[in-house]
Amino acid sequence: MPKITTSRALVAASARPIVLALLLGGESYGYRILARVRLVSGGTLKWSSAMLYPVLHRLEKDGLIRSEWRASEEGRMRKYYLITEAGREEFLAEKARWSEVHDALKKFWRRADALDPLKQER
Amino acid sequence: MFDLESAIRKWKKGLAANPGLEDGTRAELEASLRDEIADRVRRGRCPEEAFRRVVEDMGGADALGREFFKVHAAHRFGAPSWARSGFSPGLLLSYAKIAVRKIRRQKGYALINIAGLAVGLACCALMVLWVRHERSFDRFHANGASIYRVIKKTSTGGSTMLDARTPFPLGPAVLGRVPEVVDFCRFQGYEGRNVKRGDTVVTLADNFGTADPSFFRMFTFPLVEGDPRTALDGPDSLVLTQSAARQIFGTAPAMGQAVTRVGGFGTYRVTGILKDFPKTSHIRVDSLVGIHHDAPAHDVAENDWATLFYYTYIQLAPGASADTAARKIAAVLNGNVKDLKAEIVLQPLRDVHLRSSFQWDLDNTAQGSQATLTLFTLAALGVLLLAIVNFMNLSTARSANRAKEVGLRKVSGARRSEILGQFLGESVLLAFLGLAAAAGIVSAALPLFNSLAGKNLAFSGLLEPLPGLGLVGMTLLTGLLSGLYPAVFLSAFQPSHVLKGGVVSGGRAQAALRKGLVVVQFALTLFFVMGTAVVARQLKYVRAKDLGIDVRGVVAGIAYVGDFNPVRSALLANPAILSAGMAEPPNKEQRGLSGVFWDGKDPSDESQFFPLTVGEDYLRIFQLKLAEGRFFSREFPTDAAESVVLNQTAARLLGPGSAVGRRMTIGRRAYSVIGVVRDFHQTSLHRPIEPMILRNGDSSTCARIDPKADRRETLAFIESTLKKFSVVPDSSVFLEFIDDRVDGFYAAERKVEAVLRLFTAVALFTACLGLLGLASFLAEKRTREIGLRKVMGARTTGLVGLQAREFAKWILVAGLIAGPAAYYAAGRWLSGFAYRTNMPAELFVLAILGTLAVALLTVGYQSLRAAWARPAEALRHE
Repeated sequence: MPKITTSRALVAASARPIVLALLLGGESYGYRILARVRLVSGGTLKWSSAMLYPVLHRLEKDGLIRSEWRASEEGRMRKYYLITEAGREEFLAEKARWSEVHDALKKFWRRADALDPLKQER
Repeated sequence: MFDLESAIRKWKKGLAANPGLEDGTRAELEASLRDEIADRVRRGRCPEEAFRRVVEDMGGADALGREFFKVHAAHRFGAPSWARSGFSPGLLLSYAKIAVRKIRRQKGYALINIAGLAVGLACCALMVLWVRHERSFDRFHANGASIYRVIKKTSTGGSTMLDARTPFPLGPAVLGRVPEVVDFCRFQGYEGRNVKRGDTVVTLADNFGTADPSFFRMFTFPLVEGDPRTALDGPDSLVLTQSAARQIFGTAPAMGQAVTRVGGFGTYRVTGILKDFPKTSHIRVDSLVGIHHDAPAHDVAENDWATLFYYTYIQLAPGASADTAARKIAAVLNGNVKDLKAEIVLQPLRDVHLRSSFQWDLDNTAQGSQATLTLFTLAALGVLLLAIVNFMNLSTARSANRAKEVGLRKVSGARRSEILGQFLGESVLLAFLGLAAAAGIVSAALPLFNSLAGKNLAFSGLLEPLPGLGLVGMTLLTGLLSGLYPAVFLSAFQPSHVLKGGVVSGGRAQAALRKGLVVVQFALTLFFVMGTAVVARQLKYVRAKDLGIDVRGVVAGIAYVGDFNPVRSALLANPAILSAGMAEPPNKEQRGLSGVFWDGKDPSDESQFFPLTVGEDYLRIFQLKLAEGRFFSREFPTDAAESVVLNQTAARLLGPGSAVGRRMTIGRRAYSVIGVVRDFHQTSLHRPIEPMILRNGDSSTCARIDPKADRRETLAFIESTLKKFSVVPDSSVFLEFIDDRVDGFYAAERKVEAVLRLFTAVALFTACLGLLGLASFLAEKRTREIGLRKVMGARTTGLVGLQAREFAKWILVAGLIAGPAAYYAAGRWLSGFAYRTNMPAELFVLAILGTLAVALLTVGYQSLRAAWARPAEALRHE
């Protein structure tokens, strides 16, 4: 089996719905988002700060999330992100888009497997 | 120790440089960084590693900045505007265009810069040619690296003496006993170039020489004909160079033919033809005889350890230490000479040409001087430095003109490094234009330089790979050096400042630097001027000094006459000839005799005596004075065999009391001292007056001509008379005016003076070029000030004086720097003379005043023009 690495483009494209999904569960901040993504994906998705923060900023610019600086429990200033109403709608739309793609892909995989000589032998 | 806080601070600073990262973003990133580090530390990592890993994961400021930039950019592709752009050839074209435009727009400044650089580079190119020639000496020997000349070093009373001559038996004695030495060869060259074939006398181009048969084995001097092993063995063997053979025999075969050496040395048979000596060999003779047959002719026995006459060259075994060999050779020498405590210095063959300043060294070759070479190389670099300083000064002074361009380039996204590159490129371009001009100057000036330096250098030497690349490299370096400061200065302009029309004068610091550089330039120039002045003064002193011997109007020549008396009578019959006789006229080089003994001589006394063979009329011809006793006389026929006359210096060596009547042994013969002559200078003033022994005998024919008589006519008369009496039919007579010859003692110094004058002129020219540029810049800058002053009633003289005072101040400061340096350097040079002029303060003051005058004349026109300008025009702008 070849090692599966997720391409940059795919990671970038999936970042939006993932961040929105995470924030649906409550406010969060940069580092916690990174840690959650790693945990939930079981390590398949490793985001870097250089990737995440620009995504957050763009989402904020688009009005899907908003942010506020607050002191954390440790007393440090930290920027918390919260999902907006528009964000919830966008999340649903994203979810629908991805599901469509996912269903389509599933069908294609089945056809491809049927044609794969290696699979038939097994 | 790792400090997390300071590490984070540093990291934040790195982020701050990127325009894509705003304050808030940076704070957020910092928070994230701290969170992750804290997390990792909780899991047991040390803070340093955690920090390193997190920073690594996060990526550099550039990558972060690029990502954040995309958030705000209209499109998601492409680099942000501040990012490093790739190479754009269009810009290069623009740089070139600007450079050419600048040169064309400011022809005057470009000309000053290019001319200065060209002159500096031309000087360096000439030096490259010269140094290469001088350093190429004796490099052609296959064994060259292992051949040394044996130099004897003795110390008497605190002073050391280096003598290139060593005792005759030293070579053979060393060969068996010092294992490091695998071969030796003795050599010496003689004055005298006349040989006879049949009845025809031929004067060869070069001197006679004598050498061991190992000459052809040790050195790479190939024989064209003859057997190298036996060519110098026989008592009548003679080896000629190809050109000497051609001169004597023409196209006829020379081998086996008889040749007589004029001067009582006998007849020889040609046993070998030697390929002509390369021009770059310090050993250069036209004929060679075997040393075993030459030594007896000079009263040197095979086992004579006392007489110093020959040079000994040795070849060391591969890998042998020269120091060890030298110590062992010294032991052999000291073991054979009673009471001698000499050291031996082994002089590498390749050093002989440039680094020989020993007593009684070779005089039959154009000996080089490392000191002169170094002096001129430094001088050439000095001139180049002047040109570089000019460039720096003028470019920074005129930087205001470029400020807007720099500002605009910066606004359009040029980074400082690019602007730096642009200006460096411009200065390199100018330097290469200078190099092209330098090539023209060198090819035009080479004949002049050759005649001044007495060399025959060819321009093509510069086109060879090494010197060619060296010059190109030097030009590149010159361009970079002269452009560096202006480039750094210009590229530092803040666009917001200059584009708003701010002043970019460079401020006080820069003006101070400019003044400092001008002072350095003039210090260097003044150093040259002062040096030249001292050299000229010494040469004048040398010419004017009373030598104790009067050589004016004395003619000397070698004639082959039987009995001299009728010749003398015939000569004296001409009233223009005041006296005539046989004498040894002053000579540049003298060979000392060391085997002179007398009763009561201190055995450690290493004094050299200078033998002169003179006739009875010697004193009259040269107007010498007797101090004591009597001189040789025709009334005492035994004088030739038994008597000697000493000079006062020699007489003093014999101890207190009168020297007259004392007995002396020279070689194997005994003499008695009959008189003492007053000290006089027989050789150049580099040497102190040395002890001299005069013997009575046949020598050159000398005649003193009445100063009122026609020199040329009398010379022709002497020549025809000598020819008439010559026992050798058809022989030519070579007559020489001794005053010319004495003048020739200082040919090397005059060469130095001539080249130094050239450099001084060039240095003064270059420095004044720079001054001219600076003066016109200052005048331009002060237009308004001058206008205001005029309106307030200032006069032209006052205004010109204002500028002149400033330049004068700089030059005076330069004089204060150059004066002591020149005093020291000239003092060192003068110390090469036993008799030297003084260095009065007026000389230096005069040099400063002269330079000042030239400098003021240079800037005077610019100042005048500025002062004459109508104030209305100057003040209207604004």
